Amino acid sequence: MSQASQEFLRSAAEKSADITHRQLIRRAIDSYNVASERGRSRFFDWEAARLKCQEIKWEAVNNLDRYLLEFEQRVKERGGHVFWAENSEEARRYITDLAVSRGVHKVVKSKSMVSEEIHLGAALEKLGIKVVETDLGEYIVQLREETPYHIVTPAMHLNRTQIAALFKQKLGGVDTDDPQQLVAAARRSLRLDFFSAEMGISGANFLVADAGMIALTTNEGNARLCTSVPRIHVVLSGIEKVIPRLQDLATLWPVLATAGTGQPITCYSTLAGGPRQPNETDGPEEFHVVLVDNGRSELLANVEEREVLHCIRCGACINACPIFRTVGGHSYGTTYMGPIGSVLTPRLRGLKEFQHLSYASSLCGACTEVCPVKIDLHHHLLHNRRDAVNESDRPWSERFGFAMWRWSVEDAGRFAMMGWLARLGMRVMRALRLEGTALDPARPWNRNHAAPPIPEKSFRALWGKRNGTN
Amino acid sequence: MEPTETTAENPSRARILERIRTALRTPAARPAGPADRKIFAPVTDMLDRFQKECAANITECVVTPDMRASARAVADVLAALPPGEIFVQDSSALRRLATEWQDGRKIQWSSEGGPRESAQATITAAEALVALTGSVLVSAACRPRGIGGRAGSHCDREPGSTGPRPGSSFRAHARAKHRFPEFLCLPHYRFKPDRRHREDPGDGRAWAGAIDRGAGAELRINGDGAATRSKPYFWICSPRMLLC
Repeated sequence: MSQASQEFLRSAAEKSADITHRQLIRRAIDSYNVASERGRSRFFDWEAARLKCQEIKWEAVNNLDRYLLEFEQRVKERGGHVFWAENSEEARRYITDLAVSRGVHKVVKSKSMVSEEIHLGAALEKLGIKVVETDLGEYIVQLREETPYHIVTPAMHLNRTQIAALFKQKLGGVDTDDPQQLVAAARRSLRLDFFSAEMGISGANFLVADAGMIALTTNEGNARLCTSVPRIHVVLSGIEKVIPRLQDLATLWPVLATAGTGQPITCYSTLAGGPRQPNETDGPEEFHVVLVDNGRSELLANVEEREVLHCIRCGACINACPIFRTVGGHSYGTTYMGPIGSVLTPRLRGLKEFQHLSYASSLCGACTEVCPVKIDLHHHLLHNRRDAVNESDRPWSERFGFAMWRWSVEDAGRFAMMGWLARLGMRVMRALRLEGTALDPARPWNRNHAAPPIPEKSFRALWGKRNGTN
Repeated sequence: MEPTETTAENPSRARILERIRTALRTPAARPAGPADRKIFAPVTDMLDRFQKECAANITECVVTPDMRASARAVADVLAALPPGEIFVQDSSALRRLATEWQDGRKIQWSSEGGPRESAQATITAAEALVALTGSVLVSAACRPRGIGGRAGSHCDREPGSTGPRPGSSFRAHARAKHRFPEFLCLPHYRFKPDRRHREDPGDGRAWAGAIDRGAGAELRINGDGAATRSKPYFWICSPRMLLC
């Protein structure tokens, strides 16, 4: 069992027993469900919108080289720079080198999951460069020295009392739990950072190929300040974020907002496509786009899994997942959590180390049902399970167990015999009071639950008696 | 158009592209797509829909019969603001309007640089209005990038520039300007009216939109605590009057 797997099991067991935590998450997701339902009802045909988004993303991903090159050319025409990074290390090095060479002391960051993926913040901090998250949720988790709990709502796991206590401790002079005053305090602090930072780093919701622009959506306007006030703007994006046309945003933006938060469209939808132009009074002097591969092209090569690259990071699957609602976002221990994280992470970071995530699912299919780009998530989880089994050495006990199971179900007589042996074994365990102990093969269940009564006769015996065949 | 490729200084570029091309040699099944199915409900009266969406977004939308009425409406809002300069997009239409409202405030025109932190309001034009969401499409041609435009924004409605959806507004804009805008945004003022009006301590800030530079101006709009003054403002001049 990998280190990540052990940590996941430990944290999941802890969080699932934390009723307060579960209530908090349930309340947040219940509110989301109401808003999301209302948002979907604003569409004439939500299913048609999903099909359209699926079609757009299919076109983009299946012509990825063409659209990335078109995007690159447009950006360069406007005076921007585009850097292609094969892995986290390359992306980090490009940005840290840039920051050092330009004498950057402070960086303001708009929300970017890729920056979490490549651990950019830590790399910059190591060089003595202060990094300030400007998305309110990210700002809160940064103050707590935590990672985001959710890709859309990073501080979902905190209530206002906890945030008030945090602000009181970290910001000083803030002694209130009134949300508006807490925001005012964050705003006062952040505005000083916006205007003193030399570099702004943003992600990109979409890279628009025909316009050579990045599309960003926020509800707080922080991305616009990150991208326009500091003298250097760095965009950090996965290669799969490209879309063919500006026109595609007409569907993707409302769908992303509806699936992500239930809004018809987010408060600020911004397009930025280069450094300050001669006729502009503000904007960055330098504009850099870092296109990160980091395993995505390998995922592209896997035709069966390719559609995972269609993901627009709305977080709808996470909200729908009963496992996420129980174990919470931090238990996953990965940048991407929930069903999409469980599909994506093993592919990007290794099936062997993260195969356990493929099992963090009840396979209920709720994630597939809500995905706005129609990714067949629960089947991809099954594919991951299959591939993990094929690629790794399973414990002998597991292999023996499944071999026995297969041997028994292939023959009715063997199946009946195995049932009889199982009942006998259960009686022996009970008689010797070994249930729930380390010697009990069913310990994972029996240590927390009362063992079920042992039936006198098997179902087959009862069925036979009823039909007079036994 | 086939973009040119360069490999200098970034060898990873060629490797990534090669991997992508190799991967794409195996095609994936194309999804069915929505065919002719309608995604958004048709909008018959775009201005009416826009106004309704504005109301839902707690944005006040005033349709004025002429430039003079627009100036009066601007003056009314400015009168409620604390003393201080305002930021205005430097356009001939707004310069004409400014001579009409004349409230004695110092005006910082956009041609003089970006808005200062002390600006009490911002007044700009818009490229287009989006009926379906009650959003405003603006570009760098309207104002600097960093400005929020959340305080007293003035939206000149150009003939034919109100579109039912973001996409149609992009098209209208592209037609009008013969180029893509450098910078666009679609502010969408979605606040909870109850919280905003009941609990507003006087600086009008809500959870959303709390950080943008323009919000600073908006916060001071409702310093008097009047609910009607807590709303972001903008106006639509009639197309006829824009021709004046």
